[in-house]
Amino acid sequence: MIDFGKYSLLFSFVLSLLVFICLIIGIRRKDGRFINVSYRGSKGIFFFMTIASSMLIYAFITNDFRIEYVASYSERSLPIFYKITGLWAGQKGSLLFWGWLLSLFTFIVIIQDEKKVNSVFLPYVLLFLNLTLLFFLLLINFVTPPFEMIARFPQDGNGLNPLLQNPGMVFHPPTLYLGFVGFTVPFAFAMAALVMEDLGDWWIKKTRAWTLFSWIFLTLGVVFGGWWAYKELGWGGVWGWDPVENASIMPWFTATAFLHSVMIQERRGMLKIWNLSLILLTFSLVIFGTFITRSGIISSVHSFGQSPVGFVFLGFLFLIMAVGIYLIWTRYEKLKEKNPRIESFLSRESSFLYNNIIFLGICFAVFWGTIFPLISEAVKGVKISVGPPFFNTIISPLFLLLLILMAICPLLGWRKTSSKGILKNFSIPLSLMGLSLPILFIAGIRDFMPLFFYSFSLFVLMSLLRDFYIGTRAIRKSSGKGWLSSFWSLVIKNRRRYGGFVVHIGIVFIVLGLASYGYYQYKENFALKEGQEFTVKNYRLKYVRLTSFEKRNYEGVGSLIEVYNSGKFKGIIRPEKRFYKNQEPTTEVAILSNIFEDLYLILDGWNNDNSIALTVVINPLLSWIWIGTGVVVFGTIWAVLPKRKRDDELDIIEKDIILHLKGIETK
Amino acid sequence: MNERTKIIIIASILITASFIYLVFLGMKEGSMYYLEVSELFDRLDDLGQKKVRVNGEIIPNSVNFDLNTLKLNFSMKDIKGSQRLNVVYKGTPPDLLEQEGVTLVAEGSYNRELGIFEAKKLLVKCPSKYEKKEGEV
Repeated sequence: MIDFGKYSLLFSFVLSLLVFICLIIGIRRKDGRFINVSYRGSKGIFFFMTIASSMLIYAFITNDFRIEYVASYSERSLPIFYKITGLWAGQKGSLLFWGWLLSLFTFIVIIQDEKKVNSVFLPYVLLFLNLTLLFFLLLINFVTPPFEMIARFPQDGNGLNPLLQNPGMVFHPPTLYLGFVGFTVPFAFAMAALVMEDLGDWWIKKTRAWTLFSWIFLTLGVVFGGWWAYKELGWGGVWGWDPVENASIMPWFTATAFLHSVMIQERRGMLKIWNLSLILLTFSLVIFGTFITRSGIISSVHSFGQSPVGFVFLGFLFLIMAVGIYLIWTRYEKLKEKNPRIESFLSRESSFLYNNIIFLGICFAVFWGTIFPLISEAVKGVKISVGPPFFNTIISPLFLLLLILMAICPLLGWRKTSSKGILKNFSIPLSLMGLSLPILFIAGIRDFMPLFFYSFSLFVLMSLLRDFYIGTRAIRKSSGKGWLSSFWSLVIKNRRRYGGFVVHIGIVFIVLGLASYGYYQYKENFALKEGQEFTVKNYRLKYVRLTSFEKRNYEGVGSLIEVYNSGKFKGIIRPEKRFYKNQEPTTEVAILSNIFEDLYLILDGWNNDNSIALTVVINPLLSWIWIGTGVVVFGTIWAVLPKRKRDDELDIIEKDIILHLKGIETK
Repeated sequence: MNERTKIIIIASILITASFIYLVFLGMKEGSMYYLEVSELFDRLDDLGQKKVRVNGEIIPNSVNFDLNTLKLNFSMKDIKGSQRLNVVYKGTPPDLLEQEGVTLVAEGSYNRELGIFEAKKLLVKCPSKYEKKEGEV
């Protein structure tokens, strides 16, 4: 079985070389036979990569500890789903998983377009997808072989790090990888457009679904990471601006900028170079993030096994950037704007431009803060690290600006918008925001930043809700339907617009959750005897007793805590310490959450007389981070779902109605 | 130069300037020395009460957590140096503190009178991979 996996990988590598050669010949000679061979070859790679990945999972399930990788990340008594997730528990498997995803995406790209007559771009796209895949196959076969064996293997395996034995392990890595790998597709299309010198917006239209798909998984990957770090003690909470965390968020910022700016090219044919550069930058940051994570060059809480593989990624990064910049440079004349430039500072396209500047500013700040220890060491000979205050100082005001943009974007039309119209339309949301300031102040929000975050968030929500309301009212008036069905036809016929607005609502929820978590976390320590009652804010808690229990692969000690919130019994929760075989004890926090706050309990330790030390944390509005993420996912799916034909016909009428009722002048 | 170009130039200058100011402000707020244990001892004179981050390995069996005072005491060293740094921290002890080869970053300041590093924040670096030595079972 091991050989089966090993040779499948070798086959994939040989096939990938073959595909590369066939593509070059096929494109040069314009010979369809060679191109067809390359399509078949790529499908073959997917087939063999699937076999190899299945073999590795099979080895995990059957406890084949002759394989060094399996022995290092598993043990006999490990629950089955952690054995399956062993595929991405370590570096060797992660790279195999990455390669498998890329081969799958390549397969999908091919079958989507190979039968179509006008798919001249496909060989070029495949060229770039295959080159990336070739790089990974090179790594998997010759640098980090996952099927490598060890002579004296451990009978029961060495076990998986207890911190990785968390549901986060099931969700975080695969979603993040799906996002990372997904961006290879728009990148490959962009590069193909450059090579073919066919520089219209066809590649953007073709990859719109891919881009949104990758974006949503990248978002999920980042949020699952935060969720996991929130539950795992010592990882710095939901977000700690750790280099590895930063590595995953940087491509998110540029990808988000890209999502917005491509709309300008689709509508107005502008910003061609900008969009090509943004997708190049996004893909480069994905590879850069892998370099940071895998090389261990910048010290991080989440340090992965350090290895020279990181530097191979650095080489790959330079290659990508060199090729990308060369292609853009040589096509510069053709890319130069022929189209009209942005006419007004107050228009949809200029607001997207501001959005892009802010996102790139944030991305640059994160990049600077992440690599600063390296710079300072090279220049001054001493490492200076920048902590969370650096990032918060820069990013908070920039995010406030983004909130303002989100609030006014529904009112901005393409080309030109009159500022009078905006002010008139904003009277209600603006005055509500103004009103909220003193109310929040009286309610106890005295700090500058959170005060702004809360009231600006309200501003955005009001402005977006107002837009939904106005649109619904317009349809109701013109069609005579009821409120509900009017609302339904509004959102179903203009999916991209309203899907986008729903995403914005989700983002506001996340911002609210993060701001509250950052500014108003409450923490208190207690030393308690069995049966002792105590109060924390609106909670009355009772430490009932200490219990111990045995599970499949660990033993645990937990303290039972009765929780009463404002006098009402809410349940018994059990913060615990777990003792995994051959491992240090790990802490398992207990969380009781509602939409207002999270009660977060940590068992710090216990004495022989069963008295315990307990830390109680209250995180206000924290669950809104997760709720907001759900809303973002929903909104994105809404926006990307294919339209039905009859929706299209109504679309145009709809837009007129909306614009008419807003009283906004558009040329 | 027409009106429009002027506005764009002025706006770009303003935006760049305020961004640089923000970065500058952030650096002032958030940057601190990141030192190995021996480097900390070398620099004690010019550090004073400044907050720093110290990276080092935990000395086995030096960890002690007092349940009543909730104070965690331990010592750390770096790979090359033989000097021990005593650290005190009030709060929840992080996981995997005594795992072999675990390194830790303590954020805080050195109290010269007591000869102890008062940590405000501890970050344990947990290798996702347990590098077992060759032949070890």
